[in-house]
Amino acid sequence: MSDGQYNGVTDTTDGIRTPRSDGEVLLSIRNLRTRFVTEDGDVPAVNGVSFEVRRGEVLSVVGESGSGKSVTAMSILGLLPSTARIEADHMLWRGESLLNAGENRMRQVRGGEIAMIFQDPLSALNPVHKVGRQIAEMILIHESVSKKEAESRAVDMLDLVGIPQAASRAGMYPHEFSGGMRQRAMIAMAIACSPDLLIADEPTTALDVTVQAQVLEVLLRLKDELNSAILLITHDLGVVAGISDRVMVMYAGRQAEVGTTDQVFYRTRHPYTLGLMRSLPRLDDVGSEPLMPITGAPPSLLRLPSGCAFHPRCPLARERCSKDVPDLNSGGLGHHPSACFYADEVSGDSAGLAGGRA
Amino acid sequence: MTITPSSLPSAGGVAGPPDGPGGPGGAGISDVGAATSSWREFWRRYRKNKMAVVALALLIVLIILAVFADQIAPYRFDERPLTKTTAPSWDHLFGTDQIGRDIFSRVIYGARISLRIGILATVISVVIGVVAGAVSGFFGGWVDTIISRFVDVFLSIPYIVLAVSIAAVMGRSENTVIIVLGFTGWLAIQRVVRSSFLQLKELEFVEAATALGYGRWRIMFRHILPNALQPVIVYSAIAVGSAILAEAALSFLGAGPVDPTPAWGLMVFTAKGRLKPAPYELFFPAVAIVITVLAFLLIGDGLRDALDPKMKNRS
Amino acid sequence: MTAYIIRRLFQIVLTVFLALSFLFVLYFALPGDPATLLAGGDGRVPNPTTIRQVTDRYGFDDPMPVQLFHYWERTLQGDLGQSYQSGRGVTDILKETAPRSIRLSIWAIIIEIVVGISVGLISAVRRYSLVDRITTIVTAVASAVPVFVLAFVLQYVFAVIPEKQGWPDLIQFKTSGRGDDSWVLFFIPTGNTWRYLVLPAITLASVTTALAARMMRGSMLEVLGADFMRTAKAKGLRDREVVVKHGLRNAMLPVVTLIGLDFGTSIGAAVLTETAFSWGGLGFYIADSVGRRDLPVLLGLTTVVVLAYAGINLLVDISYAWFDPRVRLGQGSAK
Repeated sequence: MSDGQYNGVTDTTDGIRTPRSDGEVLLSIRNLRTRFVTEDGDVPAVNGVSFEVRRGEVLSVVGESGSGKSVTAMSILGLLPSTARIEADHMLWRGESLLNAGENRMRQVRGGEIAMIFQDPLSALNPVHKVGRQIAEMILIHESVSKKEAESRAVDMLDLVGIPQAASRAGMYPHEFSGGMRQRAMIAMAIACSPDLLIADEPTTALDVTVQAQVLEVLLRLKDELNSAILLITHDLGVVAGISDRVMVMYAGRQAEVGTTDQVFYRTRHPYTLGLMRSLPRLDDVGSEPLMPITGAPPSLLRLPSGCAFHPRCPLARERCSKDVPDLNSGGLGHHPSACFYADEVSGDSAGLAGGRA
Repeated sequence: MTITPSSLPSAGGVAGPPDGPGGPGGAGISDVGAATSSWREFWRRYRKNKMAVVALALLIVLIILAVFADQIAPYRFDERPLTKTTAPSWDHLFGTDQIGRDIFSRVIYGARISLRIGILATVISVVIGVVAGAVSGFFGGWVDTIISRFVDVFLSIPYIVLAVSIAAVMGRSENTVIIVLGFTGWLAIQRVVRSSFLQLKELEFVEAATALGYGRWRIMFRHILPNALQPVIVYSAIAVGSAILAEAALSFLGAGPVDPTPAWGLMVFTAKGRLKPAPYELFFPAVAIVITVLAFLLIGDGLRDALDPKMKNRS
Repeated sequence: MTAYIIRRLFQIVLTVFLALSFLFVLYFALPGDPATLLAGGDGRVPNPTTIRQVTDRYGFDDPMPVQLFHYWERTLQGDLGQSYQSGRGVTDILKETAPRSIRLSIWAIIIEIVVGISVGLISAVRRYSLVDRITTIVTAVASAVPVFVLAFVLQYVFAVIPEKQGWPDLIQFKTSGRGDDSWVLFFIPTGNTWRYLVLPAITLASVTTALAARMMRGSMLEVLGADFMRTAKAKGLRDREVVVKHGLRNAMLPVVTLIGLDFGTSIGAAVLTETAFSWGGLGFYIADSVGRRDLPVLLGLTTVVVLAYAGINLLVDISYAWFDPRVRLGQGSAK
């Protein structure tokens, strides 16, 4: 699988893509607030996040670690530890509230309707069970089939994600697989019951760059075959640019900017997004512009800065930023939403980045 | 195809010293010089374990009792204010034993013996165990083979059989107990330290020290050892408790100190035949053993929490 | 795997050989003249001629290496010698005492596995609950109580007091001996034997059960935080299934090792327990023979114990490989 193929799948015309806005709304979340109760006080990991995922689209959630992107995903499926408290105005899965769903219903959703792909497949797969068996287990949980049938379908799944000699591979243990293979196996497990939504939490972070492209290609191909959607969680803007329809940038538990991939990349309206892009090495543009990492470190969620949480690191910051908390409307109307009072001043010329990094 | 000792819990097993500090993330690596400045941080983490703080207070009381036994105890340990056993009273808080000695006083003097046995035996085992483990892990080769085989041989003899046998040959006394426990206790420590050294010597800072031209012994003791000590410190606290228990076991099997030494284990052993008429003769020294051993176990827990937060779950 | 087992067996043979030789040399230095003991027995003044005869017969005058050589010669032929005290063959004593120890150990191991592992498991899953707190305290105290003190306390509370107070028959236990000493299927007590079995079994199990529970709790807590547990939950498994199907086997790894290593501790505990309850097993006789300087009995019984210890450790290694496929393929488990 060459890089060209990878671009071929994702890029339509000249890197300009139209977002899919016609699909059925699968997931709709309004004002999600997730906090962790700790000895040192409550940690607001996610603070008022709202978004929708439609059938057929890829929505990327981008941010540094601690921005709340993974917690958002875990909140949907109720996979957080017991110290987590999840609240939301609503969290609807195909119109049905997940917040009020009983444990039995949640178990049907997990794996059956919404499946997850985790970051590090070596630790996310059980070391003492064979790969085939772990995939078959997924099928056995959600469908009434015989063990034998489940195992043969597990082999089919491995085949589908492009693992050679799937039948013999199914009898191996995770540590006998290479990193890319393991992630393919993880994907095979996730899609085994044809879920409507795939949540991929940093699916390529643990992999080599060349393998990353292959894995993303598999993900996209399967999304189309299953007619499902992907919620992609990543800190890697290169990955985002390559495959997503829409992007949501998160900072310190809040949304910073939401838009189509092109809007966010070409008409950036948040200084944090810009900072993320400037700190990314660009293969097509060697040497012309120095890398500009964002100064400072992400804030502690226990002691968030007043006002806009980004203001201590923000080049545009002025007095108002340390007083008022901006929301997605603060950037003004007529553009895609941005949680920055001075969104118009962000010079979002990041052209060439989108699709440019393969 | 090997199961390295580092993956195994210690033979003592009470809490199992953590895997070598060179484990995931190499969190144990600290600069020698930075050690002193982290005392406050150490105490802050230790304090979080309430039981360990109580245990530390208990240990301090025990040490005071041991040091000032002559001043605190109303009678000498071999003094016989009465001629027969009596139940606890205001004159004799814990009663008197078969030949009329004050049990309260004997229990206080016993703290001296138990702490001495526990601490000295542990010091001996730690010194031998650390040196043998360091040499073994650092130099490897035939030195390692000889030391490790030696340890294997002695670990293959059940501890109590070995201890009782050596004690039987050396004759019964407090010093015998210390030597027996010291020379059997180092075996497990050697394994732990050896595996720590095996991991640590591969790390970059050792390479750096070698490149700077430091001598091998200097690297071994000044650079690697401080990083390998963490599990040993935790283990030591627990080992003191184990040694006190072992003293009691040796006394019970007739291989410990002899009368009139007020060793707690010996007192319990002597009292066992008179459980029906005089349970207090057994009760008080037994409780003293349990409290002391428990204190050391809990201090071990606290040390582990404080030294390696990652290990906190493994209590 | 086979090659590994063979190599381990070879190692074990060498280790056991050296260990027993060491014990022989050590016991050789034991104070007390064996010939006197053998010729006259306890407390009598034997005839000097008899001492002479015995000394010649057993070669007590030979240099130590020669005696060591003869010891191995006899041992390899299966001759463990005779008791200095009673003149009984050590093999006879073994045949009589070993089953008693094994029966007691089987029950102790059953208690250790059933109680220790399940308590540790529940404690981990319900962390910070009342059950967990009680477990933490009880296991810590159990590790701090000397085995024989526990024995006395149990004897006092469940045998001495019930007898004095005339408690119901069902909770009256015995403090010493084996009662009818009758068993079916080797280890299931019949007749009144169970009254004698319960207290020593609990005593013997106490230390290792506490250790197993602590270890299981810690190991399970670590596993509960593992990524693959979250994966299992994300698949739609029930919490209980996640713990049992995915957590248990991973959490068992260190516990299995512990149970094996604990066998050493168990032997120590067995010596103390059997002595406290006069159970008459290997441990009882080992302690007894040290006291009486009965070298052949001591050495013979120790030989068997050392061999059993080595065998158990080998079994643990093999079962470890079953529990953890990563070990099976030769990748060290240290990583």
